Amino acid sequence: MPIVDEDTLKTLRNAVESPSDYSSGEERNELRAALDLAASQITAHVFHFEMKTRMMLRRKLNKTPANDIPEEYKELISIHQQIARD
Amino acid sequence: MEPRGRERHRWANREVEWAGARDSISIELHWSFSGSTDRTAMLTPTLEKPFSTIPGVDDDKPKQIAPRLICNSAFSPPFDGYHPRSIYHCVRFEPSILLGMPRSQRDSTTAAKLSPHRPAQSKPNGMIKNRRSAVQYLRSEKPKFVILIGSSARKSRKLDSDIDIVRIEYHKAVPSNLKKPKQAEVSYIDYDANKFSELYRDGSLFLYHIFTEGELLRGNRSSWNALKRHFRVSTDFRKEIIENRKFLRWLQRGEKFRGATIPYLAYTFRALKNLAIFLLAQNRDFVFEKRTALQRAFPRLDQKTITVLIDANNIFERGSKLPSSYDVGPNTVMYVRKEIADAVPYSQTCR
Repeated sequence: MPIVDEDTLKTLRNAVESPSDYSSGEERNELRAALDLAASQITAHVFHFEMKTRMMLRRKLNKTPANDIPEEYKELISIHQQIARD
Repeated sequence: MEPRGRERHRWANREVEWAGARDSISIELHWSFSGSTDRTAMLTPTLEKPFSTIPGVDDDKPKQIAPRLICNSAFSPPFDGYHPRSIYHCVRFEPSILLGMPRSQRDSTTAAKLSPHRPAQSKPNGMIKNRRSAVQYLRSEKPKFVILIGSSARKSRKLDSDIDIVRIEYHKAVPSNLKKPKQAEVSYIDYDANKFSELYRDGSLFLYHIFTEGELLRGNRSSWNALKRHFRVSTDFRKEIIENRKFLRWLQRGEKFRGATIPYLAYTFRALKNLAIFLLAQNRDFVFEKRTALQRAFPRLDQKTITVLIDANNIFERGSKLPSSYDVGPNTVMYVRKEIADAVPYSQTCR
């Protein structure tokens, strides 16, 4: 089973390819949701528990020291951090 | 309905403790600042009129406007030098309403530089004669306003409700050294005057919300009333309905909730609530209270579903605690999804 569900991943991929399509309206809402859902799915998979609040979620993904992240997920988490920052 | 402000930022440092609403209004204001009674003494004589005669007080609803505050000493500095009217707002609406410049600072700068409110004050609302001149006024004069909206303005605020404030033409972030109420987040929605004028011209539903339920905290009241008087809300929300319906469909598709139960329910709540508000508005029924809007737009949606969605949103957005009476897991999500599928007509056409 993939870490992030296919539909959410598709939205993130499309947003990276054509960001201007996601700057307003329903697409923007969809992108915001996709980011939070992906973040939650990643933390659930990597750290084995679900974050309940947006603040906790972002803090966990952004502040977890690199040493505490399993090697195979380091790249994935850094990509997510990059998208969230941009 | 998601506000489309230029910026929505949360203010996370204020600490104030509510002692609960009083049963009735006394003729004097009662407050106590632990460790800062000197400031109380300084401020009390500046209240020249009894509470009930301060303009704007709704005399027939005394129970709703007499909360007693207990503020800790860390909170006292913002009071220093503020106009008593601000203190009044503070008592009525919560301390978070203290915005902008202290009076002493304002007075000292007035001579050198006109206040942003000055143009509006010198031409109260003479130049706002119709919707077009209202738009022009907003663009040319760039007036500043601060408005309280949401449950605090409706006077139905619960302890964990957000305090929502709209600021127009305020370009600086709220000072970060102010303390927040202990059990509430303060959300700011900022518009510059140009964006506000666009929304005004287009008859935005959110502006209708602000004008009908909002409480003006700062800015020229007669100009605000003139803007309110000439505002015409749009009659066509089909675009917004389609957008929210599509968003809801996207959420309902696949298994996005796996590993993301609470965020998933929180986003579902937002999509459903916005859809409800726009569907009702399309039929000229303007409801902005979330539970009421959901119930009225989707009568077949059960109370349990609505409660789960609202709670999930509160947890995700504000960090509220999950009520101990139930647990939320994948089964809850499946239940909610089925309820929505049954109760929300995706194919419903706009009347």
